[in-house]
Amino acid sequence: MFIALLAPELLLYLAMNERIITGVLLKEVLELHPHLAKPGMLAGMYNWIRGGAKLRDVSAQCYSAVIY
Amino acid sequence: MTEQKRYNPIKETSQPHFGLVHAFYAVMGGFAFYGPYDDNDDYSPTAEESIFQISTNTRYTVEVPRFDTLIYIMKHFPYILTGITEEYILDQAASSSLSKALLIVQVAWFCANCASRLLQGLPLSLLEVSTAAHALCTLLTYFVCWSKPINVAAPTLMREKEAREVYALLKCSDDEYDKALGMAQKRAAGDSSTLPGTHGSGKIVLAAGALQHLLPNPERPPRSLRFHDGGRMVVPGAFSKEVGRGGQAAILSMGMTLIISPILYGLVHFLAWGDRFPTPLEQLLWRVSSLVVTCSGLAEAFALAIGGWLGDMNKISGIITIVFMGLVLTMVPFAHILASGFLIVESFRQLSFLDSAAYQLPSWSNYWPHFS
Repeated sequence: MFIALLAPELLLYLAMNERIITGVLLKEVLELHPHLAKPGMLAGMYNWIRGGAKLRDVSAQCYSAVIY
Repeated sequence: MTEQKRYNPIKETSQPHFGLVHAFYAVMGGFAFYGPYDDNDDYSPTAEESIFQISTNTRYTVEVPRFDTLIYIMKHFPYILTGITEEYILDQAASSSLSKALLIVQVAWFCANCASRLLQGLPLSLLEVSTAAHALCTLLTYFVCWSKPINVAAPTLMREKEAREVYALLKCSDDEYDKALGMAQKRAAGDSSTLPGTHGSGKIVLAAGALQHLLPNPERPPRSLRFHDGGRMVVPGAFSKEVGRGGQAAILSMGMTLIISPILYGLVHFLAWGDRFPTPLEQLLWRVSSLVVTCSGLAEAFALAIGGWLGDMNKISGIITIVFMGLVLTMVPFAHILASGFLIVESFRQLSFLDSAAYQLPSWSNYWPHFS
């Protein structure tokens, strides 16, 4: 709380760092197991509108689009 | 009535995924192992312990895997993390997307209010400028951490058999690993004398269970420290030293954040460059402080780069580098804290010296739905 008041830039720095580390982990995991990819919001919406595909069944890279 | 008709299926089982929510949760220490492998205790678990025995055993402690360990787990045993669904993780979080969205709308309204004041030629008070800087940082922080489960009170303890096997494998010493590997190979060959429950109990039996999944080419767990210290809390960015394997791009990105975050915060303070101040000295101090805050990250990054370059040359320059780096890395944060403190104090002090135009309201930002 105090950090947010006195040094919001520090919180932003920590948040951006954490996001980068998260991105590194996610990238490595998806390189190992591409089938575990979670659909991005836009990709999921696009596929859902186009084909009535269930959002959770469409991977970010559209590896396994399941159209119902 | 058949078993199938007695229960209505609520939802189909979702496919395992590993998305940003899982990755954030892993990095923030959300996935934790639960076991009795304290270095000062020679207690060994049995492979057949029930969940009740595990939950009530006071010898069990919680350990959070480090970055390399997470990669190893995800490489060979992804199911122990993906088995915990995204819905379950988000259920642990105290904030929802709705609360985040409401906060963002409110902060965005404030930013729009400041913009409309500037467009209409109305003065911005220093407090509004400071608040706008805070609001910008808050908006960006929320944007960056949108998928992060926030305010999770306790980590998710992985107590299932598969997770306990993996945990035992990670806690094995080299000798124990060799024994576990031998046992796993015998089991795979159909040697019934090594089946669980028939050959004693303990870490090696559990580890052999995990290694069975990796045969015929098992990979040894990372040799470095595999878990965070029990007493140390995982703070954002705590993995930063461990992402060297993420490549130069990740390290460069983290260096860029050191530069960018103070710039974003400091630049907004320049909006008050021409404001009316109680005294000319305060105006000068505001300008200098804004400059110091904006450039502090840049100065630190520059010093680190120079230090890295000088450190490679020879011994004498190495000593000079240490002194130079020590000075810069002490002085710059100190100056940053002083300047940042002045900006906040001055923004409140100026409230007593506001001119009448500061009390006029902008016209169009009030049409923005907001709480006031």
